[in-house]
Amino acid sequence: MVLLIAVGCVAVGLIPILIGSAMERRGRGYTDYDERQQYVRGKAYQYALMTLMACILVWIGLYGIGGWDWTGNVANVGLCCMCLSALVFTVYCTVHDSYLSWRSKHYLAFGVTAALMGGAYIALWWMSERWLEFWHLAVGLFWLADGAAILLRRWWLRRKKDGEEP
Amino acid sequence: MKNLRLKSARAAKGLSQQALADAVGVSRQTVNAIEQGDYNPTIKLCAAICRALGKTLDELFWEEWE
Repeated sequence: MVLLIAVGCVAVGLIPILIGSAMERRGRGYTDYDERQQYVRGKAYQYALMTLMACILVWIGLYGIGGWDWTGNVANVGLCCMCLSALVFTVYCTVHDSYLSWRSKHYLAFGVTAALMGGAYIALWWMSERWLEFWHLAVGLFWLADGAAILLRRWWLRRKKDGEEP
Repeated sequence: MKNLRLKSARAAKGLSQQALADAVGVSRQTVNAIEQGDYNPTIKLCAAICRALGKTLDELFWEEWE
């Protein structure tokens, strides 16, 4: 499981960077966030942390009150809470144009790779036929939603010409 | 509140948002956000914009108080 997650993270994190760098030729710094982007990312971290805490609180509440272990095991819960939290972070950043640094032009590569990874994880979950062990599903939904958010945002910006004014 | 003075100064200089953004080292979306009044830039960025447009801080960012 850990290996699969690691492979997924490497695939989603590394492949777009490699593709993007090849596309961009000059391969400039990947962490150049301007001040507005840093501000937005700070807010995104805040919301992500709050989401994580809320998720864990809800689970503790459900488990504590009813002793209802609907999750199968604790690892599932932890992973799902993290996925949801990370999703809040990435979607918030994407919507505010702060997911990638201002110099990066890799949105398409990121979006497509994330969506593909999401699909792969969901397919893996479906094929496993162990539907109660839903960490595959959680990771898959996370990447799928992440990719969809990036691609939708990109499409929206291109459609509106990115708010560019002469 | 929209910063129309910044927008008109940029237009007068014949710069697009992207050109100004490149000149001051930020994303174009950030310049757009400043013009739309959605983001308050730091004094450092204000100074860089003023330098790029050949204006003073007062001319671009100062608001008269009632």
